[in-house]
Amino acid sequence: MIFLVPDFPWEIIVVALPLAGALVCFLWPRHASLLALIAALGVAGAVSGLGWEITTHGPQRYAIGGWGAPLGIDLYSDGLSLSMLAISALVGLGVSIYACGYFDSQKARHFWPLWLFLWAALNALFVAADIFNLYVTLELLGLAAVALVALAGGAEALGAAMRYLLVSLLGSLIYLFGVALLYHGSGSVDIMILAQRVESGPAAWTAMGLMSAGLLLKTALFPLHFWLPPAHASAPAPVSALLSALVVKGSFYIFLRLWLEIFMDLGASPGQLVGILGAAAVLWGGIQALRQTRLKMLIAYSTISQLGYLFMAFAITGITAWTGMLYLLLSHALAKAAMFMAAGNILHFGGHDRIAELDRVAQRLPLTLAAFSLAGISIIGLPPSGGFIAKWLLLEAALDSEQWWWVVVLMLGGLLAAGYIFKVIGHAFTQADLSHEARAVPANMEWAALTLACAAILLGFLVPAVTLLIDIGSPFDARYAG
Amino acid sequence: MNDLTSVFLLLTVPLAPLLMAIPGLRRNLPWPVHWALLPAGVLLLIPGRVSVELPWMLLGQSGLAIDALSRWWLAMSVVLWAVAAAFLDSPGNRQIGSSPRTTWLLLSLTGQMGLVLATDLVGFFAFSSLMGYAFIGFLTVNGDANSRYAAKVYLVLLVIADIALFEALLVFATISLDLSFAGLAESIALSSAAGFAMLLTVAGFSLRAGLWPSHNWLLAAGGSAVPALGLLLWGGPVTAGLLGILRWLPLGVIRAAELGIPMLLLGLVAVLYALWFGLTRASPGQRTACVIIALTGALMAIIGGGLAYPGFWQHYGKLVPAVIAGGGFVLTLSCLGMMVRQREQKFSVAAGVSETNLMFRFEGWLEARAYQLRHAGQDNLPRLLSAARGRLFSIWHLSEWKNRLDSGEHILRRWSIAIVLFLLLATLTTLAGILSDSG
Amino acid sequence: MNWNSALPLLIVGSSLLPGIVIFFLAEERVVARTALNMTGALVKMVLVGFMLWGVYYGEQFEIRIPMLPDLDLVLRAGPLAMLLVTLSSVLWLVTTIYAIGYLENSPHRSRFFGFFSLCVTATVGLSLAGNLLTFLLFYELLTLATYPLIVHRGTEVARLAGRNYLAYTLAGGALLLLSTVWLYSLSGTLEFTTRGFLSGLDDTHHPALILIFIMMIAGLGVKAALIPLHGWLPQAMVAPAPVSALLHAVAVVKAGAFGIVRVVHDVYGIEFASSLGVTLPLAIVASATIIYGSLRALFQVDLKRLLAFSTVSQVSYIALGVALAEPVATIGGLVHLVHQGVQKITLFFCAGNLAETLGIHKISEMRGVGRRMPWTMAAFSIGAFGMIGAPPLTGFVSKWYLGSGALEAGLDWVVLVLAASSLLNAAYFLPILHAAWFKSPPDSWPQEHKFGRRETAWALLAPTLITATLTLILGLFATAPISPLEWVRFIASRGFTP
Repeated sequence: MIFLVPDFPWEIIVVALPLAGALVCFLWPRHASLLALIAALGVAGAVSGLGWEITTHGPQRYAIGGWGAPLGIDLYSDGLSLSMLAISALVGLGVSIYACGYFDSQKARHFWPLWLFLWAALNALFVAADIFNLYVTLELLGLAAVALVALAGGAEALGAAMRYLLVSLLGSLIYLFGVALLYHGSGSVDIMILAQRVESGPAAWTAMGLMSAGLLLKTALFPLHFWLPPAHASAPAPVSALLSALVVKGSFYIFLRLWLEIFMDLGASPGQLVGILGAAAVLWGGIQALRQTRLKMLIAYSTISQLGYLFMAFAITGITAWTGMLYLLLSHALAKAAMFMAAGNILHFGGHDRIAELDRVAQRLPLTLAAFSLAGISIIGLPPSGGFIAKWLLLEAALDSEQWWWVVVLMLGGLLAAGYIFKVIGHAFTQADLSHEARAVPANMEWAALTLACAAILLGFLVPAVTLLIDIGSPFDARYAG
Repeated sequence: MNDLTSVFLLLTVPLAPLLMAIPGLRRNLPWPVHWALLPAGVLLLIPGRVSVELPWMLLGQSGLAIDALSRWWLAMSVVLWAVAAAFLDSPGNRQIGSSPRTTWLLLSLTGQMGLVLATDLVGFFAFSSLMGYAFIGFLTVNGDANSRYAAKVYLVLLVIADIALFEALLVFATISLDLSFAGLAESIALSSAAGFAMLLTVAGFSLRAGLWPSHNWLLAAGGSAVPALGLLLWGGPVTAGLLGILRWLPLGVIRAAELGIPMLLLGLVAVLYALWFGLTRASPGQRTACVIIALTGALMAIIGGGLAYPGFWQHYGKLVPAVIAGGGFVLTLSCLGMMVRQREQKFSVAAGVSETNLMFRFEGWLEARAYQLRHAGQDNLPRLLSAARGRLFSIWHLSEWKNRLDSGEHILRRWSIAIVLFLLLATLTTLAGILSDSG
Repeated sequence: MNWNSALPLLIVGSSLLPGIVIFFLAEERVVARTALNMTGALVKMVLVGFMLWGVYYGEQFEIRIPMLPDLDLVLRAGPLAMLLVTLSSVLWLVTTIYAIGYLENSPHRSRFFGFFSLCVTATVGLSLAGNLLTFLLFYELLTLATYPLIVHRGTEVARLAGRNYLAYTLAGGALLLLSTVWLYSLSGTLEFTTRGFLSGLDDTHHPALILIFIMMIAGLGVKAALIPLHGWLPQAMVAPAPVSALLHAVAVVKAGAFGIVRVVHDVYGIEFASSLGVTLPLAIVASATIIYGSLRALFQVDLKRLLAFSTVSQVSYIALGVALAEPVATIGGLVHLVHQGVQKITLFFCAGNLAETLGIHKISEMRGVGRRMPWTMAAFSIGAFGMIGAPPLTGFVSKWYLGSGALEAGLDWVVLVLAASSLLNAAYFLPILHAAWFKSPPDSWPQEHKFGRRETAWALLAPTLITATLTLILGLFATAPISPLEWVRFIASRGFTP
């Protein structure tokens, strides 16, 4: 770079900007969408800045207020956090554009502040470097998400939001118990220090058990996934996109971090347990998705299924498996957001989302169906898409380590996904028995969905760049490298 | 020698009938068949051996040539086909120009000319197939029940014969790289593995030529109302079959008694049968067919004898073409005579054929087999598959599973169960960690 | 990027770009769409011509794009690849003309032609693939691009046929993916190499290699319609005639058969595969398919279904030729790739003509149609006789090489299979021809469209006649220097290098 990018504390900006945006949108609801879009673009720019800094200088550690650990709060960003930040910036931008056309002004005044607040919490989660900070951001994230779910109004949405709230609080509470145990045992909450100090013993193991359980509840791992389908299906479309694409990834990110930094040093067989549950999630989610009659429920169960894949990587350890898992994380975020947006379009268009009565959507909303199909291709794992790369890497890792059972689950999961995706596409071509009145869908909604879906496909061609990126800071080495 | 004249001469012989077969080209031409025979006539008059090679056709070894054997055949063909064509309709009738019958006749003639002049196995096979199928077309278009029946039977025989000949070709190809007749003769003489292929060849060509017991269609065709059909039968499929055997097998050089003796016997039986049938039961038209069957039988007997006793062939083999040609000429004369008498008597209907019991039984047998084939497996497979699927589904009753899946979700959704599972997960994870740590 | 590496990419792009643009054209812009289609097809043919000339004189055309860590997307033009590429390009041009005529005034033509172009892109891509990953990519892309064409009509029947198609092909694709990844983890490479890249692995892996072979053949055999994986093909006949013609008679089934050729020659290597003992079972399965397909065809009432089962039978000739592990038979199998494509497309075009002009869908309705549509039936007859294997048509040449190869390899029963196949083909084609030419036509046809004094529309008739003439010429002049047979011999003389 020829010109010097000023040495901003990009990590701070990445958190502070959406927060400021939320405040501004709350104060001036009339211009909320414009202000939110500016904020979104700003965040995207900040992430690029951070990215540039990391790629040139390596992982960054920023001490807030100059104090530093173990007393102060540190922010740490390496390749892993950067990729999470980037994907949330991309999806966030897409959702913002989508939401401009989706909400009427009454709902919009509540939506924008809540969404930007959620984004701030999410970004803070990704750059947090100590477990208590993670708790705070996790809690904020959950609360914002619950509020967004309740935005839809109506008994179903409120019931789902209530359930989500209880689950969220329960999970965070148990996580907090784990934090307390670790702090008591090792004297610090900073991850780097914990990684050096923590020793195996009943305290550490109990902490791990509690924290894992809490986080896995919040990431909707089978059999604790019951809250996710109603919440994601009854929320408004942009909110569903955010929840499936980003919010569940937040708690998963925490789980991953803790696992990589702290818990993996202590032994590996919980990984098998998590993997088995993940495999069960893949199959259960897939079968349930096949049975659904409503489109949004189908997509929600598809999320449960795809999240199961992520957990299988904990059982098939190895750098290839981690890369595959991360690739799946990224492409699933893009694809799922696109899918929910497409479902939102269909709902907007026809007033319902019953699959059997999609009534020639292929003809009347070609862009939306194209978005759904492309996203579906990534979900199934067909080439050329990000999902395919992820599936390939996971398969390779499983075959290399000769764990055949995971291979079977991976293939079955792909076939189930193909079943439910093409069920929708097939019905989209045929005519329903009763035609219904159609409302026009704004162009920005269709194009936002299509762009995100194309991004999921394009991710399949960017493997060298992405692998380079996530290796910054070597988060996947068992040893923490500062 | 591939010089221009020989190329021109030889190529026009099969090409002329092919061109004439296009209806548009001969619409206003009287006597199209005779025009098509003109190049052949010209070729006949040129002495010596003329040949041309066509390396880019078919499988690369084809060619056309005229030698002593083919000269006889060419002469006979020209004469027979000319006379037959002359009597297909009243002479000078303009309708002959565009009728489909003439098209088929000309296509058949193309095949005949080609097979007479062919120098290698593949070319012979190709042209004789063309001739056979076109002849079937000709018989079908003729319009009366007898010739259509004859066409059907001959079609089946032709397909089977073609398959047998194709197999023989393949085996010959493994024995000998050079598939021209001369090369093949050498290779068969040297090799010992050719027996099966020779059997196939003889079988195929016998079916084609109508050797007893595959002669039924000849009788049916003979009973047809078409005048001069007998000439065409002799000048077309039957002698083509005979030529095939003569060309493909190196008679007089090898000894194949196990092949020759049965042929001899079959030929004699054919002669006897033809005599009996012709003298006792045949209608006038069928008498010509009987003569043909008898002649065929006799010739097959001679060929069989030649296979069994090479010496015999070496002495008398050269007479065979002469006999065949002579037979053709005799037939011509007799047909001419019959036709003249027909015209005098204004004989209009020849459809009253006394079909023999044999023919009825054969046709009935064919029909029964065809019916069985058609209904035996009539899409049984889908029915079986759906029955199997039904059985599978009763085991795996979808609605039952639906209920189970639904109830599964409901159970998981209840708070008591959820919290229990949650605590279970926490405990198991802790335990797993402790176990792996201590283990 | 120099010309040599740009050319494969250009050839793939010459149908991809028009396809994407056509998606965005409005329905009424007929001229623009036709112009895009034809330009794409012609440009592709010109580029393929260049490539053919270059490959013949030993030029290397290759492009590599990194896709996975340590694995690239490779497009490479070798003699074998050029066989399928040329066939696809020529037949795409012809079918585009046909489709333009067939779908006149049908709805959703932009969508149709967009996906049509994508299909050809996929076919060309998988022919030019230089390693298994690229092949897999385009193979799956072909599945995805053909699905919308099957469900194009939007009826419930079409949806179910499409669902059935996907069930088969996606399962096959999954098997192929699994075996590819497994091979990669065993051997570390996926490049197509002469004599395969697996012979170096030691004996402990041989059981796994046999299992992988079975999975790959199963995955490829779905598209190549080997029994019992052929069930999708007759059901897919619900698609419009140009789709059935190009895709299910030529592109999709040839992709599967071509994949089998690649696996046996360039992944396993023919000697290694024989030593593993997997080629004989493949030959048996192929022979069983040949007989079974013809048997089922015998009992069909609907013309397109009969042709579908005939395709099932004929495509296995290619698998049989390769499985006999003998150069002459392989020549027969490979040349049948071209010959069967040309013959089958003629037959499907004729079926489409009959359906469009006279509303004929069943065989029983074809009595006397030879008088009403002589040119179409003449083309049908040529195609039918080619299927039966009568000289001098293309089928004869393929059967000749297959039979000779079988005899050389010592597997005499294959000759019987070929003979039985010819017999069965004759049994179901000749009655149709007989009825069409020699029976008298009914008083009225099921649904007649008049085209003035012509037999049918030019756009429907011309491609039919072109492909019928090709059938005749390619068979008659099979040993001429520029025939497919000579190209296949060229492939063989180069030792089947990929």
